[in-house]
Amino acid sequence: MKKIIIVLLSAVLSACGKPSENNSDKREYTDMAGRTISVTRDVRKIFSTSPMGTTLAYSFDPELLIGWNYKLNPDDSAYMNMKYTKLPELGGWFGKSAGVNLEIIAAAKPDLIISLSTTSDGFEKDKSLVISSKTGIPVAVFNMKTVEDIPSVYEAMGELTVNKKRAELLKNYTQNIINRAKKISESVPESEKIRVYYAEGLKGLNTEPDQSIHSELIKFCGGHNVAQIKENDISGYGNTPVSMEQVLVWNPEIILISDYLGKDGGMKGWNDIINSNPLWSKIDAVKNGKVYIVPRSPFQWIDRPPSVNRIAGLIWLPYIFYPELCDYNIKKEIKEFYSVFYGKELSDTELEELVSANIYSKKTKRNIER
Amino acid sequence: MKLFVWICVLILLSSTALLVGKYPVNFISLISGNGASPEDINTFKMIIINSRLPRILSALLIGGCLSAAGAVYQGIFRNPMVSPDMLGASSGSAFGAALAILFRFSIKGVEALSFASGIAAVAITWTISSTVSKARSSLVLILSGILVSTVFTSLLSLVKFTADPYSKLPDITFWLLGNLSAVSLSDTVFVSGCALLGFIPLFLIRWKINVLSLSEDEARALGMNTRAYRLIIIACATLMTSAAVSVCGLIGWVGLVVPHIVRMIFGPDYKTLVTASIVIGGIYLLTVDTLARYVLSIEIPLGILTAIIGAPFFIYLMTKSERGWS
Repeated sequence: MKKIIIVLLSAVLSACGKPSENNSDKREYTDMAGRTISVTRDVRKIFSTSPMGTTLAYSFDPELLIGWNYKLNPDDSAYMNMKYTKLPELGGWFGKSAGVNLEIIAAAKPDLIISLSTTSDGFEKDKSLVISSKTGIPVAVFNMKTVEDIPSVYEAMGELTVNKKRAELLKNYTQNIINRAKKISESVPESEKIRVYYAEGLKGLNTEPDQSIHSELIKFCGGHNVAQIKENDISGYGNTPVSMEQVLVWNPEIILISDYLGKDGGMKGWNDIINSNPLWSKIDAVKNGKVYIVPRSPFQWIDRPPSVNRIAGLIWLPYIFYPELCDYNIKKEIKEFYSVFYGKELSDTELEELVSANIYSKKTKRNIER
Repeated sequence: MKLFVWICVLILLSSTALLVGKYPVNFISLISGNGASPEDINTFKMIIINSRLPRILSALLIGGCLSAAGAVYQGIFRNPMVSPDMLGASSGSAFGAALAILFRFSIKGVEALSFASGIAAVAITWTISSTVSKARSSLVLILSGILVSTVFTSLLSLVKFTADPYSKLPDITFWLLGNLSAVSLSDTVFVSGCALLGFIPLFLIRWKINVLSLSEDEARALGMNTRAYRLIIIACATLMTSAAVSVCGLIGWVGLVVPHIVRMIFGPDYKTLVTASIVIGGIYLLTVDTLARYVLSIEIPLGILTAIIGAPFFIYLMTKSERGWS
């Protein structure tokens, strides 16, 4: 009996001792929330707590991902590598999602969990503590309060993984696009900013007000979001409801429509909406054919998730708002974006499909073909 | 006489609501045809006809339907805590709508499936309770209602769980919060049709509800076919509730609170109570909805406002009223 106990004890002790031997592979890392965590030297597998971080990891290196936060839409996965679309759906903490089964995550043994935050409040930190204490996997908090933080987020990815070159490339690439969009935006006087309405929802009467993270790009690219609404009144979840009369009063010059709009999304969704309510035809943007569907796949260009995918929006939106101020070839730039970000070489037909939603405005189509 | 006064209040409020809105409609030029370009006058007309009128009429009808349904339910179940969603109409409609949104039905399709599943839920409740209890006591009916509601609420959660987080889920969530901002004229026509179909039978048998609100035995002793009348009443109330929910989403409180307010004003006699519920319910929802569309530049979901305004008002009435609550 005694022998058995001793054998068992020594087995337990040696098992306990093992991780300490591996400690040389670990190192200290200070994340963007200022917490010091202990992570493996070269992080090879990552889980993100929300689609924001998952999008970041996918664009950085899809090999890192152990799974998605939600079930991918077939339209979107068409623009991805099949190999990664088959990754499991693991849940996440975002929107109204039910969360994650932490045991599944622990069993999948990622080297690191990332939590991409748009705020600097303590919530992310607290949540990360809970996750790491329950799974034993370190959690790094990334901050992305504005699109301008994107380059630094890639820099952090470089520090955590072995792929320094990739980090450098993405950091510089995104920084250039951000700078250019900012320059164009700054050259437009406040009084001449174009008035933009961002339509979402089943009837186009949900929007993202000026201060919402979901509409940040409109402001950043020099548009004037017509929905100037006090921060307190905004639903953090997005999709703030407004009335038809209010949209008429705002009378936007440009309407950006979410590809998720209406029942079928896209152009068809939009047509259903304007056909069901003739008041839309009284709005300047509709009268002048300046209604644009925000291209979507694999991640929407300006929002949802409000993550690194918005770099495409920084190429596209200035073109929609102020074509005369943009001296770049948008077709070439979008192709480059898909190649750099998603490793996807867009064919001309695919590019056309992505932006075909914008046939509504002949002007944009011309610009894209330029 | 009292009812007449309240009908005048309703008409007055509706006309005021027609004048109020975010868009500056120039009524003088709209009527005289001068002082604005024909284009502007056309816009004014469209705003009144396509935006404000359907909204005001729908608010009146939906408020009326929900509170009348609540009033008769409270009577036949002899329970002041009963509301129109008692037998599963609301949770059935909510599930139907969510399912339709998930499968990308058109807006009309969403309303149709929502309406149909509201009615189906109550039919299931009725079938279960008739199978379980030959005596058809209202307790069994209420219990079956709670069960059916729970199942449909869980199914709704299941739909929300599987919905796409970027598109379908926000749509479902907002539909559930209750909102009249997007009602169209055809919605109004549909609700008024159902409201009439539900209201006329209730109006014709309104005095029988008094008898039904006594005990079951007393009602039967008075020679009444309680089962038949109860079925008619439940069918009418379900028709009205499902129509209301299918068009505007879930709006709580109206069906629970307004009947009590009506009883405080008009007394417990169902001869006037049914009609008065329609009038006061209409006034209540119209007032709330007008606030919802006028106060902020965003729309405040109705489900939230009806409760925030309704609860304190109800407490105030409760402290003022000397009527018994037993």
